[in-house]
Amino acid sequence: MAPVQPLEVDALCLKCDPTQFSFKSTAELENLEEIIGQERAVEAIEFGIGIRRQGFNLFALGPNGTGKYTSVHQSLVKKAASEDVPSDWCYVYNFEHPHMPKAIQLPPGKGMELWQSMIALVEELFAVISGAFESDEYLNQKRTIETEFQEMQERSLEALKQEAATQDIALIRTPAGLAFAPLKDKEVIKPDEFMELPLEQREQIESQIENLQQRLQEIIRQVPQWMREGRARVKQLNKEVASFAVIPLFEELKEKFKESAEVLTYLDAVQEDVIEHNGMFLESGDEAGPGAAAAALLPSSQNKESFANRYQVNVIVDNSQSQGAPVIYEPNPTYTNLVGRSEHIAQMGALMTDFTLLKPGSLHQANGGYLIVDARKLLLQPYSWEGLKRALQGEVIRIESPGQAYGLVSTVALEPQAIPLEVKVVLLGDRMLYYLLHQNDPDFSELFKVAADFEDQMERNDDTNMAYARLIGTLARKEELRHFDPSGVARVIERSARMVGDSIKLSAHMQSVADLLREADYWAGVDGNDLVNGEHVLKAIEAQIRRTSRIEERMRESILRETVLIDTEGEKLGQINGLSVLMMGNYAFGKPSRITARVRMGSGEVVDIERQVELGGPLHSKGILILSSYLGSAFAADRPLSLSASLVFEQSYGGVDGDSASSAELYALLSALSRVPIRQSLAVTGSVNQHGQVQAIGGVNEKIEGFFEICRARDLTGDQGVLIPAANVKHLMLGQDVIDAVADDKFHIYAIDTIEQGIEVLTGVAAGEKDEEGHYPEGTINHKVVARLEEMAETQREFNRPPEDKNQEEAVDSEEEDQS
Amino acid sequence: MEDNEQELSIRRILVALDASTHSLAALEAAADLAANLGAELIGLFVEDENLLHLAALPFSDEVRSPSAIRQPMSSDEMEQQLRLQARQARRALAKAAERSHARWSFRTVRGQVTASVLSAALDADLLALGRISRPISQQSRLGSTARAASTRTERPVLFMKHGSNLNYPVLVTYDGTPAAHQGLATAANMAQASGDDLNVVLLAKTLEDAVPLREEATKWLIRRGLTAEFHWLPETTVVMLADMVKAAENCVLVLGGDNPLLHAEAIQELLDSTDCPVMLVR
Repeated sequence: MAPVQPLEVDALCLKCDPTQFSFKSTAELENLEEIIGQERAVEAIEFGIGIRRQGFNLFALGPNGTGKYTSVHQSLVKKAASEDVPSDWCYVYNFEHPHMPKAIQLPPGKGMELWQSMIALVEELFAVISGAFESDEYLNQKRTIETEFQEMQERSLEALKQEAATQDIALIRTPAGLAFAPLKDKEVIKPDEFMELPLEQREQIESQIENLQQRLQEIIRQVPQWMREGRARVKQLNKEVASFAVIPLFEELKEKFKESAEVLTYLDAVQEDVIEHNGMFLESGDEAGPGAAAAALLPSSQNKESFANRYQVNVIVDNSQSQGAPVIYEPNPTYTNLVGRSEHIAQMGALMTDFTLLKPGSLHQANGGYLIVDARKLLLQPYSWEGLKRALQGEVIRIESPGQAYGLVSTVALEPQAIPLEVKVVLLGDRMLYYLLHQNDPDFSELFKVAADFEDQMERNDDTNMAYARLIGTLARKEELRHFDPSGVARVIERSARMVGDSIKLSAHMQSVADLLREADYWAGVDGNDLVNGEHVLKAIEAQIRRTSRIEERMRESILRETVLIDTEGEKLGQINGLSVLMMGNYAFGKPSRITARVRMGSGEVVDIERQVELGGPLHSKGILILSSYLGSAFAADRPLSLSASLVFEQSYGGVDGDSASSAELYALLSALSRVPIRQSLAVTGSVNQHGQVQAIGGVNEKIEGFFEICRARDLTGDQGVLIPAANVKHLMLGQDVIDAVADDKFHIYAIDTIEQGIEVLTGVAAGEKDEEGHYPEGTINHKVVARLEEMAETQREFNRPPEDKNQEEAVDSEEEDQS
Repeated sequence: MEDNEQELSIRRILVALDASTHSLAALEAAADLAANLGAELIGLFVEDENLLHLAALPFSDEVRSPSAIRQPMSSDEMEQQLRLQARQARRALAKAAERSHARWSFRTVRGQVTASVLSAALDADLLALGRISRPISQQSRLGSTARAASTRTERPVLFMKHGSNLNYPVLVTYDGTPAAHQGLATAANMAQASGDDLNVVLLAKTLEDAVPLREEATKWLIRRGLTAEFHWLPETTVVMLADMVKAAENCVLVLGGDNPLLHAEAIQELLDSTDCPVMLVR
């Protein structure tokens, strides 16, 4: 097997050649209208928007910053512009059931017109009705009616009084009512004088009084009825006068809104109500109406004002200024912000509401168009998700408080008429949310049938490089940044590839790219350049790293000061430099860790110390079990594995997970078994499978750079380097410092396919291949391992033999010695 | 008219109180006058004998209003009710007197209402009463007591109606008789006390007759440091006076002198056609 050679410089980073661009500045490039790298998502969005069926709402899923909102918004605005402007919606008073305001649909712009017309109407009603009721004709008629009924009562009483007087009986008022009294000399007869009268006369008087009293009772009983009749006649007169005054006003208004049957019905109801409550439009008038008890405590003017409120129009959707269908983004999707709410005002210590206090939600605003909502925010708000689903399922918007919706309160509240809903909702969220909802909410898949899955990376080729350049130009124009020259564009593209950790991919995380552009623009400004070049981009990247690398530097410092022990020179038995990646916020960096292995005689177990103390995660344990399996099958397939090995991440206090160190652990173990030391100038990453193949890991660039930085700080010896899985070569997008060191032959990257290749690089001793008889050549690592294992097995056997056998054997040995 | 003629002095004002709102208006007016003139208020409540007799009759029932329920009457209950009304009247008097810082007394007598009031009026300088108590019919404008008071007492009488008060310009008739002079003096006192205007209506058949009356009155008023506006009423009829009262919109009418306007029918007619407070000075 030929020894593994270090990678060439070209393999370390797929550079973007600025000469491939024919422009001098991105200012020359046209704007990029389409979204790059999101073809699948854009297709899904267009499909979702185009299909007008219930349940075909969209869920745009993908990481934040991938342009979900921009893509969705752009697509929606484009589509909405060619669609009809939806109707206006108003809430008006329900004269039959005041707690159930009626919803009226009107052509766009007509809502405000109705609102203004009703305000003007009410103003005129006060003037017109007051005028009619102040006329002499009306006052005379009213007086006639009142006098007629008053006289009716008085005439009856006067007649009775006169009749009684003819019988010498007086009708007199008592403290509580009226009574008849027999007279003598024009005064009430004294009781004893009365008793002195002859019986017949007394009986006659009593009979007369009895008769009079009965008739008096009848008269008094009739009084309320006469009063009612009188009031009814006055009321009827008032209605006639009011009708005559107000009907022309209503006719004018009806002519204006003759196209809308709903408005005409409403105006009829208003007309009837105005005529019925004509007294409220008079200066001194007051009438018992709804809430009269509370109203009685308020000043009269306030009463009238609150009464006239019932003729207001609450325009909750006004599309008078709209063009095309609405596209609404709801930044704060609380329940009430979505479905609307009925507000309250404090009145006499109580909270009151009416239809004028109904406020629209974003569903009202988006009705007939599109609503964009952030799924996470939606789910964080109590009741919002259920409220939205209920509206979409029922295809109506019902303004009700959560308490009403869930039947938690039974106080009298408004129940406004529901408004038909036709809206396309687009939820924006990360993938995890989408899959969780899909799995746990049965309604979700019925309501959000279209998923627009946003990529976080895209292919890297000449076309996408050019699209990136146009994107940079577009963002520069939009955000008024300096334009980029080709070198600037090239560095942005390289950085983008590094962001996704893949030399043939580019990042679709537009937010990070845009941040880089803004920062590079800043540095170009500091330099006083009109164009942003590659140097500015590199400066921006360097500054980004510098701002976030405090912890990385502290860790590196602790290694350099040998608080954390990492060797970068010499050779050690059973000791190797592993590599791990740490993520601090959105910044990742690599860090070497010393891994050691010790072996002793045992029953075949490999002890993962990290696991024993619960500092190792399941993936790490899996890696250990795999390497144990490899060890057993490779070296002790036909005999017991008589070793006990222990593996540990030295000076690790915070837990370890992932299997990327499993190859390093295996190398350390092989070194310990074979008693061949490992070069400490090398660091290793890569996982291993049961056949000894080295497999790809993540964060390869950070890991290499992490070890490189330590070596560079201690001065590069030319012997140092990193072993990476060959499968990770395509992910290499290393920094310029590493590339330069490799070019100067001061640092080396080895692409490893198998454990055999790796151990050879690490020890300088060949691993060794089995010959035809299944033996490894002497002096090879594998041979030494097998020999050590055999030795251990033999020793084990020795220990396990019973004492008699041992004595016998010893006896035989001595005999043999003796014979010899 | 000579300066040494005796002017009317009002030191004791008798207010006839019952349960009616008109009598409360009379009380308020009397209290105002008492405050202005430094007079004493005397409240009188009469327990009506007629009612007590009626309640004692064996068959007596009252028909309650507005329920139209018939309820047997008893003397005890009637006495109790009258006592209650008397207490209410006393409370009202105390309150009014307190407001106007006037001395006051109150008494209750049992008897015929009219006779009792007129009898008590003999000890007072002015009788104030409501035009009517609680009428059975709205057409009744003047009650029997008021009617009797308008004709059967020599004392000045003030008739008040619910809703009116004395805070208006004073309109006084003047025909040159001693009683008319007393009326003028009373009106001048009232106007001076309340700071309101004084209007003198000269009752004379011709303008020539009116001129000396005016001079006489003016002279007297000037000596008192007062001025007045004069009007001439050529015909001493209720209709003409009522028109004049209506033209003044709001006023207090003082009828003094010896003329047809002081007859009971004329007073009733005047009270029918006007709502203003009326004071008779004979």
